[in-house]
Amino acid sequence: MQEFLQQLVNGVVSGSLYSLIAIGVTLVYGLTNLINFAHGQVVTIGAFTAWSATTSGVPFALAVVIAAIVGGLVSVAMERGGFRFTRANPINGFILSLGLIFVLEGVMVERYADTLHRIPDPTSGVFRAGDVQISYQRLIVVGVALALTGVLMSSLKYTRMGRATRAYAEDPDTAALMGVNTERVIMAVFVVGGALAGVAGSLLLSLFGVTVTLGAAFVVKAFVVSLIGGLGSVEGALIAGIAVGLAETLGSAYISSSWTDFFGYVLVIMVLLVRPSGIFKGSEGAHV
Amino acid sequence: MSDTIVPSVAGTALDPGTVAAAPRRTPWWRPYLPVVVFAAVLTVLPFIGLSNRHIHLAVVCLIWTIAAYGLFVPYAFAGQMTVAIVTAWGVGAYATGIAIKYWDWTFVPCVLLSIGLGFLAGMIMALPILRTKGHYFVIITFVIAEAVTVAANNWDVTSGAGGGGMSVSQSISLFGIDFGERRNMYYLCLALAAIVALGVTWLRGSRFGKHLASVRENEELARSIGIRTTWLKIVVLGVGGGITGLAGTLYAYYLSHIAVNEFGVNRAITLILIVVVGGRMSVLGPFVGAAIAYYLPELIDLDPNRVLIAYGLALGVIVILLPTGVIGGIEGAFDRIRRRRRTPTTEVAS
Repeated sequence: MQEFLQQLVNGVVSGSLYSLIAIGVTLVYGLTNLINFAHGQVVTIGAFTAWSATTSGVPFALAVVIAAIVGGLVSVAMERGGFRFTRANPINGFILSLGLIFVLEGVMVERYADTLHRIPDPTSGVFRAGDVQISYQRLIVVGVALALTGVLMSSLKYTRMGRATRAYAEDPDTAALMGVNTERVIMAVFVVGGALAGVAGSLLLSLFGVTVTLGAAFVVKAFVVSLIGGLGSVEGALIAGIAVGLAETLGSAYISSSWTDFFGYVLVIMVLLVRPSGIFKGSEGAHV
Repeated sequence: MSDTIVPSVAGTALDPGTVAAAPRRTPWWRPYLPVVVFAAVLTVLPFIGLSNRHIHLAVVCLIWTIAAYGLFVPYAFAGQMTVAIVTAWGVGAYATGIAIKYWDWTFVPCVLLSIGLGFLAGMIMALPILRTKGHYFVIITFVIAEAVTVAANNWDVTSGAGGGGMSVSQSISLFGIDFGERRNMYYLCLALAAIVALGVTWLRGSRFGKHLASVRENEELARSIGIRTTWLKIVVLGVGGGITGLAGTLYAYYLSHIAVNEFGVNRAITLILIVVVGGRMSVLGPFVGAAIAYYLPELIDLDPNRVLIAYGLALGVIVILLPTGVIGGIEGAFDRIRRRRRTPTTEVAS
């Protein structure tokens, strides 16, 4: 029982990171129908920005903020420099994102060698609840991820920009006619998605350490999560992320650890057989 | 290279004086001509004094070309993009490796096995299309490719001792010719690539190919006139898998060593690059694309990591500036020049 609870906690930790990465993917798809596989590279860039910052003496909390800013900038630069031109044909955007994977990963390999980069734990100490132990760092990771997701969801709901975003997702033409600055909405979504990916990257760094090639694996996870949650749905991404995290940790603990990634993939294929457009898509009105 | 131009009356209707003349029919062999000419040109390649290394690169390039046709057929004909095509390549390569290692098969049965299994794998991996389509399907193929890689890494037959892969220690010998010799292997690969290209050309003009085009252009409309679009998509993805399976056999024989991680998503991206660079509108596209994507970086001897960066940039530039690929771009330029020479009546006539 104790081990089970421990695994449950681990699942929620990695799941909250999956959600954070998936939100960028799902938001961008919801607005532009773009499958952006280069989003994983934003995670890598965020992680290595945080690594460079902390190893040169910046406190970890500030490093996370820097990673968020850099992630947002990189993401919007991809939009301005590339995806802007493929908006009419999203499959070309998908191909372009595959190209960007090569470019960004290659540049990262040039800059940082392909080895595991770690930082010393930013916080120490362990939280105990009965027999279950959780390091404070893990609690912080989950807390930050959930808080950011919560802020994003409520600002999509209540702020002017959020309403504009939802309007654009619902019907781009009508939104434009109503005076929504559509270019700005798209750029904002890329910035927010990239910033969240940067944060996710720096949190990953603090927990497990990172390599320059981790982006590909995480972006596939992000798409698994987004598909389960329904592409375009933020709350779907949150819940599906934690579901995938749980499936993986429980699967690797009780079935086999060398099949870890497999459980998420199986989950998405099974979910799509039952609900082809994800669990949360199409059940209610607007989704972003 | 006007193999993309649909037979039309444009050529005859130009001159107002001959409007009454019946439109000239394109002879049946016309679409095959570019492939035959191109392959004939390639046969002289070993005679212009290329070093062994270049022959080697050319062989690998031809194998990539065949594999790229496996992606070209579903993508160019039916508009179905799939990342999992690389899995069919792996299936073909491993089917060959296993058949040789455990059952001591020879080349021809291996080829048939790989094509058959590749076809099956392509169809099976296309099954999610029953429930999803478009973007969802592309992502699902990505997930499938990753999932199969995980599974293959966990199966000790495919992953090999300590994940080192599998050796294929047999060379091709047909009709008493030893295809272990590099130059002979070049001709074998060229012949097979040409056969595949001719087959693909035939497929495009066939009834099946026209149905596929209807799926690509307007699926709802095609369905409304009774074309079974879902079934067509599954079959065309199977055909692609079969072609790529053939490439798998050649790959396993020629490189005599295969490893699971080679058949990952990176290879799929390179295949997509080849098809996109060559141009999805041109049957010769995969040849040109493979030469550009594979041969060029080796020629200028780039560091592998820089090659990846260059691939990525090339993909981006071509997608944005030259959406019809290199051949499409050249044809477009020719068309513009030709049109400029003609009198304004051309515009009215066509």
